Amino acid sequence: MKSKALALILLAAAMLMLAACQNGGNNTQTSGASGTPSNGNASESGSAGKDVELRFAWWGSEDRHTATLEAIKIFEDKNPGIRILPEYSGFDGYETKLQAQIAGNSVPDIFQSTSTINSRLGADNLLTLDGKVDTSGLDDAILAAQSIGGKTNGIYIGLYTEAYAYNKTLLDELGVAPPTSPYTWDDLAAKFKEVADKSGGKVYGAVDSSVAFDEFTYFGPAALDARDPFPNSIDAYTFTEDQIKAYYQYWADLRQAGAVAPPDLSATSDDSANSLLVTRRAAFVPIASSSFSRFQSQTKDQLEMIIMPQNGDNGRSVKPGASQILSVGAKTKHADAAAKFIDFFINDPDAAAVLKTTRGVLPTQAQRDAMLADPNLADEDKKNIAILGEAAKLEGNVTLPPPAGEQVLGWKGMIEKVGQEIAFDKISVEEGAKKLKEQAYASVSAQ
Amino acid sequence: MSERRAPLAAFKHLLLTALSLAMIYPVIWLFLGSFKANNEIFAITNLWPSQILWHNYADGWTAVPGYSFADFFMNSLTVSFLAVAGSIISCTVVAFPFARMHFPLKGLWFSLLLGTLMLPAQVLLIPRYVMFSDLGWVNSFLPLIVPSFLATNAFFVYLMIQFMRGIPRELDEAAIVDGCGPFRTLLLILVPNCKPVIYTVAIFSFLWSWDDYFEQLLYLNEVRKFTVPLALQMFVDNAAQIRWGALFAMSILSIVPPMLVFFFAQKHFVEGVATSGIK
Amino acid sequence: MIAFMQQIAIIKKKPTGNRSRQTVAAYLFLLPWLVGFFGYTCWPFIHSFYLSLTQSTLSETVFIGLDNYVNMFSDGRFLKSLEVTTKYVFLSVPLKLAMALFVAMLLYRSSFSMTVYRTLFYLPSLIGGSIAVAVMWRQIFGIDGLWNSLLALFGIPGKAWLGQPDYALYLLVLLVVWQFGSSMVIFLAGLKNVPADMYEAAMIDGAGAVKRFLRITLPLISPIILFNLILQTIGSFQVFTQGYVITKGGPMDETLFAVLYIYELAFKQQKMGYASAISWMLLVVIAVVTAVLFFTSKRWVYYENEIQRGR
Repeated sequence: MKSKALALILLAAAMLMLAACQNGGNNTQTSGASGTPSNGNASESGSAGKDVELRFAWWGSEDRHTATLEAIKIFEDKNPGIRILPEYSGFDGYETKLQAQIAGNSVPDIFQSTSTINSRLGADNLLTLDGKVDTSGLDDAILAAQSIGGKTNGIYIGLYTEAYAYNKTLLDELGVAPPTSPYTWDDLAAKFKEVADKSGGKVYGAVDSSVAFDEFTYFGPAALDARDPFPNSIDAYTFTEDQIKAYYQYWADLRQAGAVAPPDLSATSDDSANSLLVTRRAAFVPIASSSFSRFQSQTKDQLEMIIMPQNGDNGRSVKPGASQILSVGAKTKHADAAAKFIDFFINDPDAAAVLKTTRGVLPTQAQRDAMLADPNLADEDKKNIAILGEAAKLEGNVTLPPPAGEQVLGWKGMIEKVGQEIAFDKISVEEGAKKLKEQAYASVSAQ
Repeated sequence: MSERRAPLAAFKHLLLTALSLAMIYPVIWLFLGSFKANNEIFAITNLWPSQILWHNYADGWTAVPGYSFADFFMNSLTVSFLAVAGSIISCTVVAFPFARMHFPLKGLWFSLLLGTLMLPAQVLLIPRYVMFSDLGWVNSFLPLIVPSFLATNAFFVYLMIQFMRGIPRELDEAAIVDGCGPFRTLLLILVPNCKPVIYTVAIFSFLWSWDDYFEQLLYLNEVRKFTVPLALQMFVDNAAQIRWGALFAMSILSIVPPMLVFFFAQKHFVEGVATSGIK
Repeated sequence: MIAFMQQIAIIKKKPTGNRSRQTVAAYLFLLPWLVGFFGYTCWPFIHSFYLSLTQSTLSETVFIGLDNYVNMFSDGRFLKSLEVTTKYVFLSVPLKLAMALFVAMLLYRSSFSMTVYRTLFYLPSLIGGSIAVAVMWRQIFGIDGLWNSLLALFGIPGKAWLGQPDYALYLLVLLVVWQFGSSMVIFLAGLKNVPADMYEAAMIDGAGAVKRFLRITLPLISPIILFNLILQTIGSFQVFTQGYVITKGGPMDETLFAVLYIYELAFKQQKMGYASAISWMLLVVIAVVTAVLFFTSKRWVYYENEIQRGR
């Protein structure tokens, strides 16, 4: 008995040591980024000169991973002294991990991000890329919106636009003509009512965008003639109480008319099992254009997209936003190599050829045209690119990440929560508008 | 079984069957979904797939470029097996003095032991990460395994304590009279009588390690070291198409090892030989 | 009888020299835990307590004393999260334990069919917090899901339950109770240690099934009941995954669990200091509830070998 137990203990200890030797001892991934200086030499790469090793982290799923790995290979072929170490994963927890890595001083050299994530990471932890990357092909206003603290520290690598996706098959069945651009928010409201009427109340026009799917940013310039910056600037909110009241009222009226889904349905409409678009309970749902293929793949109906409504007088709306950006860790030891890689990523046509639409639509018009010329392009991708081309031509505001706040609800949380309170009849539209304005304005911290 | 018990038994089976169906319906939904095409999975109409798409399993298996789920299963098995070994050994050893001995500061250590369970792991994430980063253990399995060898999961320690307290002291005393020191008493008397709880600890530590997404994400950077939960998350991107069928397929497969562990362990903690535990 | 008396004599006759030897032995056994505690747990705990006295982002940390603790009581969301969490604990723990014990009692015979049932009942726990569970749960309780179809059989109109502020929490309770398998396993292990000869003796004395359950089973597994009660309570106060993955705290914060709020504060709002303070407040709440459970347990928990001899 005793010897058996002893043997078990020894076996476990042996396995532990084995695992430690295999996986724990060498930290070739932490080249220059961990606290202890003796780790992470690139010397095992074997070539004559010392290779520069860059850790590159991104999130995504299979298509993006495959495409990115191919792009990396092309880059390495063109730049023999640089090796890229890929670290890819799913999205859940990606930001938390980044934050932990910043605290533990082991941030990857290059990482995929968004302006909202970067605003949480803080400008001190991002490398300034001014002048290091050729951004001539990118839109200056959109580029400026991706950076924190006034310096260029996020380069966008894909674009998307908000769009209303609709179920064309369903609309045809109901005898409702789809909207055509340019159109206004009032036109849209009329369409919603038409869908509800013609279906005898069985199909809603759309989800309620005061409860979820915040479209206030788009409503402002188009319906209320709001000018940049709206609804916030870099460090303050700029919307008025009347403006938010008009927004909430718009949806309240539609709810009254039965033209949009009730709040519980709208709140649970997600991008899969419960999407009102997929389950044919609503005809219109706002989406990010880059997720179009996801919705289409989940239904046998034909789906289409149209850009957000525009201002009836001057055609203004909102410019496209960046789907992802690339940033460089402030403490990287290879700033130039990292910048080179980003430059390759956004400018090199060979990169574009493999990356395609895995990160939203490619940033420059030239790349988009090159893609449209590809005969094998999937239908969904065609629609995606086409709608982005249309949105890119718009005159409009640029969306900025919400200003850093003292309050403990982000902007989206605040506007949706108050919207829900209104929709569930806990408070009136006037009270809600007042409450949101006070909350939002009070939330901006003094720093 | 005697005649008059038959209707009772039948009723019991009926109840159990109804309950189990309710319990596993969601799993059945998942299983059948793994054979469906994307545009059918969320269709309300039928539970049964219109065509059985076996290739969902093949697609899922190779979904992560450059690797297959075989790699991820191997990694998960290594980590989980070691976690189990660590938990069983360390928790048995640590529970013993709490259950059987008197020593100064016992109350204090016991309160602290339970106290370690009371702070949510989320706020301990970053300090622990910083610590492991300074040790150079990031991007390895060490942060996932070593803590289990140090009895850091108070759940298991307390479970063993409660069990040990239920074992009659006469057995210990008999062993001491025979000349056993504390270690041999533990090994020869307590451990054999703790078989049910040791198998329980094995099941749970395997399962919790197997399912642990966050810690594994945090400490593993290279995809070749990834475990099953991390690989599963890679099916879900916030914008692109999700291949639900493949995701469900791999989710179903990932249930198999913990289920097997449970299946084989369970005979050790149900009524078998009618004994009070005295050898 | 004589042997019994001899045993008593041995127990009573503890030589005092053994005291210090036992202490040394005890600490040797405790060593792994002490290393783990001081190395792995203690420092992060202390660090998080220090953070709770600061305002901390990734870029800088500023000491602000007890401000976080004072402010939290005027934070409506914090108070709401406490309310939500408490409701959840008081609902889910008793339900889960009752189900687990009931089913364990049904299933602790050893036979093939029982083996199958046990595995089936444990299956939900195996799926844990994976993405698949979230999708599944949202599907089943969605407007077009199975649950509404069932309700329709009884003429009850269906709703999008997870979007209903009044009902969303109960669905999450249901999810957790559905996963009672792990508690069941622990009860099974405990039931095995109940000596069968006690049941036989009781049956000979004419005790019925209910009486056997109340007088024999319950007292003898009371340490295990206590264990499950304490650990499920501690765990339930820290519920996170279900809220994070299925409802994200909504609708209208009706499923905003305390730890979900803490997570949001720490990682989405860059308020690590405040998040730490709330965590410590939660710890205090948990500790108080646990202490109460322990103290009241003295009245109903029996440890076999610590019962007076001669009963």
